[in-house]
Amino acid sequence: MAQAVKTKKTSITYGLSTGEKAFGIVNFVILAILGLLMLFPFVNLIAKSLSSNTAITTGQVTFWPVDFQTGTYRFVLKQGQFWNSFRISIVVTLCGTFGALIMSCITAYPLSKKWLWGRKFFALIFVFTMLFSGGMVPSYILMRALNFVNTIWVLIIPALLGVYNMILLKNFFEEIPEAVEESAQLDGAGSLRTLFSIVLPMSLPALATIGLFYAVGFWDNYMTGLLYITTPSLRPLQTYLYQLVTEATNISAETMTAEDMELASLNTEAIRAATIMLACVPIMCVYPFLQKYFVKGMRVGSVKG
Amino acid sequence: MSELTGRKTLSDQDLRRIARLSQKRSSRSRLHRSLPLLALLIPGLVFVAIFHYLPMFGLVIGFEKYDIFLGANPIDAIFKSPWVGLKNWTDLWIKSKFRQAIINTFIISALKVGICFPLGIILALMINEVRSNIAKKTLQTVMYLPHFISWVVVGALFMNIMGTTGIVNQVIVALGGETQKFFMDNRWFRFLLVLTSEWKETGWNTIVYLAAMAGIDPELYEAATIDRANRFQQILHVTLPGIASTVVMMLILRLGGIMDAGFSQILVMYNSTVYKSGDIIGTYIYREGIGKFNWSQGTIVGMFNSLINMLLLLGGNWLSRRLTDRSIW
Amino acid sequence: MSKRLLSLALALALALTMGLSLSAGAEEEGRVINILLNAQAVDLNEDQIAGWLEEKTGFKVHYDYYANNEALTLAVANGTDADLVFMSAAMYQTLQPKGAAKDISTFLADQPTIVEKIHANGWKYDTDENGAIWGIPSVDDAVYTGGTVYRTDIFADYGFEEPDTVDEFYQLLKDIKEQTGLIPLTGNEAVQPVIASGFGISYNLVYDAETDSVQSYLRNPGMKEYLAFMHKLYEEELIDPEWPVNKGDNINEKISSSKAVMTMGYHWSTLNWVNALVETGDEDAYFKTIIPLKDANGKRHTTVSNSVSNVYIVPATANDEDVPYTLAMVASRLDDETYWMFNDGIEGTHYTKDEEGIPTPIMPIFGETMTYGDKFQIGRNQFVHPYSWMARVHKSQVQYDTFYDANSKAAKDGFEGSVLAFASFPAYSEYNAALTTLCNDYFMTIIAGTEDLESSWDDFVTEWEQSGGLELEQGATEWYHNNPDLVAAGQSSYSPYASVFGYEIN
Repeated sequence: MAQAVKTKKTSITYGLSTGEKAFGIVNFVILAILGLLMLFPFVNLIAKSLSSNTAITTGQVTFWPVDFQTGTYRFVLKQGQFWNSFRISIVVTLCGTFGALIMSCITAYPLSKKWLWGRKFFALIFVFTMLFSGGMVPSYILMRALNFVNTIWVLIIPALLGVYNMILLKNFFEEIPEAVEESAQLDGAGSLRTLFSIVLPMSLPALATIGLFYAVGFWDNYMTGLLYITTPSLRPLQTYLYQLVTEATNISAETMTAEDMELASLNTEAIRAATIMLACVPIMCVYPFLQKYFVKGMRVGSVKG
Repeated sequence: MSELTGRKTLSDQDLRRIARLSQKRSSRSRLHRSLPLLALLIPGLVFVAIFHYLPMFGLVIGFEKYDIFLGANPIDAIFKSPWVGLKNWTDLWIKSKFRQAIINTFIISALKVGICFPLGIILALMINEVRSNIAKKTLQTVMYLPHFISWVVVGALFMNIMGTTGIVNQVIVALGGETQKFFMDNRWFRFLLVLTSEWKETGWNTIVYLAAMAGIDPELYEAATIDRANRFQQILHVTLPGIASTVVMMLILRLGGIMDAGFSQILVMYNSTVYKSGDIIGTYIYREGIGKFNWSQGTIVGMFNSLINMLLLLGGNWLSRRLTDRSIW
Repeated sequence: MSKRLLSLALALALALTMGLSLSAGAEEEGRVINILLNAQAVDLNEDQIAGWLEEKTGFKVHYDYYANNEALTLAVANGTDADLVFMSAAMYQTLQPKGAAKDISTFLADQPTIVEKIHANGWKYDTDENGAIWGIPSVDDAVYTGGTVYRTDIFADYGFEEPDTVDEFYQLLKDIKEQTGLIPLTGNEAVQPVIASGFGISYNLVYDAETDSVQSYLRNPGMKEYLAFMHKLYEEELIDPEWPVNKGDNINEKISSSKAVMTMGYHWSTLNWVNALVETGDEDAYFKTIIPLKDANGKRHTTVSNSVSNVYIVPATANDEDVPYTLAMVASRLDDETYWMFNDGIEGTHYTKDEEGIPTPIMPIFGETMTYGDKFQIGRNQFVHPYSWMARVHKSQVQYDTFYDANSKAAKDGFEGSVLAFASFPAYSEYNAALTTLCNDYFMTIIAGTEDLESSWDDFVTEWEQSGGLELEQGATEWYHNNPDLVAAGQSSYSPYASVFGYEIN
């Protein structure tokens, strides 16, 4: 089906006027330049991670590695800490995203029905939590009471429903014509079955989008790890990375002993760059993988007709 | 035309009255019809009750001089800490630097909404117009990359690029201009904040719009081509209306986060010479509270932010309902 | 669709088993002492040294980490199950008065090693008027770090000399700029200690004999002169134009790529710089230190103090029965031989000792193995530490030379200790850190010229006073009068390194 859409599109391009062709070219050139600008920091980080300490401290590295070396990557990958945290982050992101998607679907679906009894009230209950939060102290007390502190659960469960994402999803659900569902319900399907067999397959772009948001949210969340995790083997990757980056850069001289500062000078920028790269790669790969759902989503329209 | 609209509003009112009446009558059957769906809502409601509403009792510490060690445990401490009313707030409010920080928060946030928000849409439209699928995917991926680099790294990078001897200044000098101290100049600093956050987040912000665009019925484009609409007209009459509801919703949600002007970004990029233009509520409270653990003050300021956010969100939602008949609830 | 579901289910199952295996692995056998300390660049549990210690002392120790002071406060307030908690002296001052710590005085009576090996000043700091002892202190000895280091090769080439006074320093900066075209001085300090000394500025709170009170450096007329001078340097571009925005990395880059000649530096940073400079062609690059300038009375204010840098507490929630075992572990760490081992490694493998007992590290194995050794310290062995630490100073010749050069030069004119080095009173823990930030921020705007000194000074002092400055001064004065012992300890500038290195402190 996606194939069919594609061929249709190419057939359209034949009829382009010169003005439109020029627009296409200019558009592409602008985007390409923007893309290069946005790629720059990555090129810079990769170059740094592969350069010698001297080349970096003297500021010679911009686009290309100077005094090429791979020792930093070997160093980072040798760290037990890195792999441990990597595993934790994978587990948290996989379980978290899956659970959060389910939670969001079953919450967003009822709220997307205009005729739902008490819809406005329930929606406001959720929206309100987006605005007000109890703050750090009560949250800590709660996690402690639930025995979540210093367990993997604290990284997953409290983030299982992101109201922001849920509202996005609700908005996407609202776009689906009521008629499609009603026909299913006439066939005797219950609301859960309608949701899973009719609504969700029609919402793949939306699910891919908020799935991505959740995955990135779980992967990038370093704060929870900072506050609630004290056992190093349970520390997620971004918390580990955060500590690696900030410890080396934001040393406040007043609280540090001579030995601490000596240590900090050993933490070379190259190691940081390599760790950042390694920690980013998995989550960066998620998007290209999900992109096919953005195209496939075109099917939604065809069904609609 | 005016006659027509006049009549229309009249009938509208009538309709509404009728609707309200029938609503009452049908409310019981609506409830009956809603029951299976309401059952689906239960897990979500339980979730927010435990993880959001339960901790909200902690907001009372904003009106106390909370001492976490008072009493047997931190909860007991909430009951035992002395009540001070709004003192935590007034203590801050009398400081001119704090009031300046509130103003800065608004200005920086408004600039970000005003500039970054439309740019995200424009960028999404531009990417959507790229015909080659491979190029499109590559561009999308590349542009969303900066989102993953932390501000600590991005900040350091821009300090190099836009420092007094950085590339930007080299170009300015080569063109006969004067070296600009972007990071130390109150005229430039806000611009710098907007520019960097745009650079970092615009690509990421396009994702929602691209997903919405993917959901637009291709037949609409076909119909438009048959009507000999050119690409601009297609964008104007098919793509934009197709994502309008998403745009409105994103804008309302963004308004609901207006008081977050980018704490971690500013903390990395600012210095005391640009406090006048760049110090926001978050950074001010952060400096003020170094070594103090003033949870109460943090709570009351958080409540203030939440209130403003809520007003804007409600206002935005109300406006949107009036103008476009769309609402996020 | 079903294939996709299957793969998803498989991935989840895999994730769950991984998660389960992780939690299962956390359980250890036998009696384990839990230590909660600040986040480290490496996991001490995995460090080789942890294994050595367990083997040698027989104590099993597990390390947990808190990320920041907020996390520490929350953990302690909610009742941590750790046996020992590490905290900075500042956090100790905040948490101890709230009842976070357990009185260990009765338990310490059974562990004479601990009491004996740690310097008496530390115990004075941790003991209250009732004789209760609230923690195990780590005492910093007086070492001079942080003078202004300069490139000896450039100085030699142009015939520049180390300045002694503010005027000489100004002339030096001018000469460097005119003759070399380089940035004479880079940095980011609001109070540049070497220059500030020339205006009689040392610590942010000092005792003033005339009024018999402790006063802020804002009361010192020299402060305004210092700021005016720094602003002049900035205007004339004699110091780095990026002074207010510089971070550590920028400064490193400017020095190690020969863009700047001088900066505030420590002996350990010089190694990287010299390596980078030599590799990029400045073969003679080397560093020495300019010590604090003489003020109008010819006095140098070299700020060197003994102090307590951090404290290990036994949390109040710990069981009384567990404390003796915990302290026995602490005592084992303070044992001379063990202390040598986890700080410097094994003689012959990681370091060599000369006849005076001063160690020289064997590189690179020392750097690879022993880098985090000092993180295993619980309290400092006052007899061993001055020697064992030398291995770290001596990791390279340039580090050693910079250290020796700075300390021996500065010691000639004596060190200035801080009367508040061992201070702890409520206003101090509440206001000191935030007020220091407030001052530094303001000073920076003056230096950069965003604010005018004359027109803003009085307002600033008022703001400072209202933000807790008055309470701070008052509290400091009271504390000063009530704690003559601790005041003397702070002022003594006792440095065992003087005898180790063979220089004398006047």
